[in-house]
Amino acid sequence: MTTPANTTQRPASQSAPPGGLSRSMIWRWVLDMLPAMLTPFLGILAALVIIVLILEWQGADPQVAWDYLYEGTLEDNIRRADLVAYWMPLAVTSLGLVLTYTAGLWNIGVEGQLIMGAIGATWAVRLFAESDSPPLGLDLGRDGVLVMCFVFAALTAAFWALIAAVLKTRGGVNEIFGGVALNFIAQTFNMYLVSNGGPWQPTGSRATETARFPENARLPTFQDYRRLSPTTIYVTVGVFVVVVLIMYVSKWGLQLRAMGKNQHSAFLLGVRTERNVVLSMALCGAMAGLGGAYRVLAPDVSKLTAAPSGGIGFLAILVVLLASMSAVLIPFVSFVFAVLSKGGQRIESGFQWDYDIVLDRSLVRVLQSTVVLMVVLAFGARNRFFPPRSAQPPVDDDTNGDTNDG
Amino acid sequence: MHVELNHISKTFGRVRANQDITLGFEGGRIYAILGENGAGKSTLMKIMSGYQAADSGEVVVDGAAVDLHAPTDAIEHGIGMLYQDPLDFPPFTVLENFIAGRPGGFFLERHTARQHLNALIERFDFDLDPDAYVDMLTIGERQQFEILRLLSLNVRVLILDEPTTGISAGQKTALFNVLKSLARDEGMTIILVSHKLEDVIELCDEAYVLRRGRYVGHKNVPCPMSELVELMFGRVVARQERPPVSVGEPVLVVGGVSVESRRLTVDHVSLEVHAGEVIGLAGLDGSGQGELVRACTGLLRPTAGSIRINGQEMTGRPYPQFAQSGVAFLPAGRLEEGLIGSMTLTQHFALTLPTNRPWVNWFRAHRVTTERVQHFNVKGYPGSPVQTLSGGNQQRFALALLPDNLRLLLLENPTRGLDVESALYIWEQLLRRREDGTAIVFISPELDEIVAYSDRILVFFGGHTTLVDDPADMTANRLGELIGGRM
Ligand SMILES: Nc1ncnc2c1ncn2[C@@H]1O[C@H](COP(=O)(O)OP(=O)(O)OP(=O)(O)O)[C@@H](O)[C@H]1O
Ligand SMILES: [Mg+2]
Repeated sequence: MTTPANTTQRPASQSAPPGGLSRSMIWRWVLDMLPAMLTPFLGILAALVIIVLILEWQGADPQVAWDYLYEGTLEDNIRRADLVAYWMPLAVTSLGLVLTYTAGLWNIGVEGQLIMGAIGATWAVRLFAESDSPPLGLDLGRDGVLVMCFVFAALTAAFWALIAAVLKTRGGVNEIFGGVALNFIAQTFNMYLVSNGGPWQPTGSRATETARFPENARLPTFQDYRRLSPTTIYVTVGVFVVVVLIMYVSKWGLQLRAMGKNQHSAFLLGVRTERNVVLSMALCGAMAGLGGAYRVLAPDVSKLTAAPSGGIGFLAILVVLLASMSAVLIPFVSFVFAVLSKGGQRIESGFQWDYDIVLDRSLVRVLQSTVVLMVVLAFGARNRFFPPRSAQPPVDDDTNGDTNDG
Repeated sequence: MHVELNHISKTFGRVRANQDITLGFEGGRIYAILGENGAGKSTLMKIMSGYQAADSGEVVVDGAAVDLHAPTDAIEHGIGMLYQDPLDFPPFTVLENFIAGRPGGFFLERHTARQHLNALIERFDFDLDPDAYVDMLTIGERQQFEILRLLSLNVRVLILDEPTTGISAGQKTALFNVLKSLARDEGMTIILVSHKLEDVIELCDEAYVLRRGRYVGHKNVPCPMSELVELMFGRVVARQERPPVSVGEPVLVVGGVSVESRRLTVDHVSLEVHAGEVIGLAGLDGSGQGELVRACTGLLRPTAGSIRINGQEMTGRPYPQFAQSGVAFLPAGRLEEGLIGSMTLTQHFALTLPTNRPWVNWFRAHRVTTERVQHFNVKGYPGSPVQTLSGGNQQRFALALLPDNLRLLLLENPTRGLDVESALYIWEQLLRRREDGTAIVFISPELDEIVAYSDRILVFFGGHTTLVDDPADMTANRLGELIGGRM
């Protein structure tokens, strides 16, 4: 007998051929499916083990850390509200990335797009809410100002993404390199705006941030949770619906999938690949821009700071990879990452205040990257030892290019 | 060396690809595995070469059952296989890939490896540049490279799954001579999966025939071709007369076009193709036929000259505009360009069916898929990913995907990997398109096919083209001389 599947056949099933056959077929099917379903869980389990080891090594009790994680994210309503406020920009940015990653575009530039969104929103605030002479003499109310903020954020970020797209389609610059450069430029530009003597820094201030936005540029909040705005939730749900429609209903979504799998074949089958590169990048940029707007307009922030994104763009890349580009999984995966981020901060501060143990500053990042690394490794190991049935003949070198982030 | 397959069975979901197959292979002999498309030939060979595991049954090498979990296991037992669809190689040069596939150090051996590779290339009379990038090679050259790589790994049983589909007549003769000498002089076992019965008769000593996943018979070769055909299909297959079609106005006018191929420049090609005509392009692999055809679809910019479609100047226009004017192109590499391996049949139709709506009408896509798949006799379900189809069925599917009512159809190796019966059937379908005024231009390495179906033949040799206006008394042999440069 040559296959491992046969060794699991029970003797009883061999004595009764008809029933036995179907039972062995179900068995084989389960054995086939099992690795696929267990992979992410095994990855997370491995990550937990490693995290526990890291904590032990840093002299912190993992049990206590777990309590902090819970306390920092889900214990009471205020924490939960904070968690949601962090979750929304992460989710909306990840949803945008679903489009580009499905199309096979490694939109690393999303971090810069998010920053440009934040700048765009601030720009709208300055134009329509703070200025004495708004453009065209428009005197928008609060709702109008906020709409302009979102529109400006989406447009500036989409423009930023378009640069990367055009560099790729016209200049032949890989979107990864273009993205890295544009991220750097966006960060520098943001810094220029708000740092010493920058045009958007209030005169006399030494803080690297703009002044607090006026009343009529603040998002409405829940009555009980002053740091959470329902608007971000509505907008994100809307974006979610749009992305789900694109990916599962529209013809365009199917084209993006085809491009991601084989761009050349897709082109020959009639897909306008170049146009779709541009479109998907722009849409993704617009969604990342919304994420940037959430960040600056957040009720407890309400200004453009030196680092408006807080790394959410990079985090979103991890989210979309772990969700294996599935739009419906994004809400869950981004939630897990929001918990890890928020909870990680609490673990850090908790140990410092209560136990006087100073954990490494980068602990939060370490937690996230460990999870990513382990899940990606688990997928790699799965593909190596349980190759999917319909795979092509094996290739000489192996797929392990995804583990260099974080 | 003696290899046996004992009671091999393999199912894929509802498909029984191999059912209780028992065969034996001796050293020093050349075997053919025959059978219609989807008969289970590739599946059986992949089991023998460790790429796939059987559901039941065993592979016995010199009396001992062996466990083959990966192609490397099989190579250790001396069994190596050349796959039907060439592997994806990383974007390295031929030499680098050659070294990477071998056990031992990567850095030290470069010089010896180069000598080794050059010696093999010379011995086989292959035309392969060690410093060329593998992803730039033609299908034929990739296959040559794969063969060399396997031989350098000291395999004793060499399985070739349709090795002659992409290579020129000269390359084929060289290959066959080498295969014969490997069997006669070195006692190797050669197993050839092929649909070309002439090749089988020329090369092989014995043939095993499969039909619908079962082993149905054995023949000693040479034997009359009709006996093999009857064993394969259970009946006699005959070529149909081609109905005459009246020729219409010019559809494609190529005026003094020059294209650059990797090795040579083809200068000043002029050709006028009329509605309802079939033009065959003959030439050795890489003589510029592929480039000319790509220039006629807007995939490649000619360096000089003009291309007119339906009387309209189209030189330098992009591919989508050609497609809009009713030009379709079927490339040779099915899974590399043309189809998307991991997408299902229905998804392919959903992608290509013309529609003004922004959403996919899955019901319509499913209905059309079912119809087309039935019409073109593709063995597969609407929900099967294309890469799970057998090679010949992928080809049929690619043909089924071509839209109706075309003005110009450009085909590269249209019957690549099709069994005799399906090749005839496909040509019947293609020729029927002429009645709607479709012009057909096709490339084929099989000169028989060109002679049989072309109204006119454009011969490529050494950067020049010659038009054969009246192929009535043209023979494949004569054509072989022309493409080899003998006038
Ligand atoms: N990975 C797979 N998943 C599902 N079905 C498969 C898979 N591989 C092969 N099949 C099915 O098994 C059958 C036999 O396929 P196989 O490739 O062995 O045919 P073949 O004899 O090589 O045909 P061809 O001459 O067209 O290459 C086909 O119906 C095919 O669709
Ligand atoms: Mg096959």
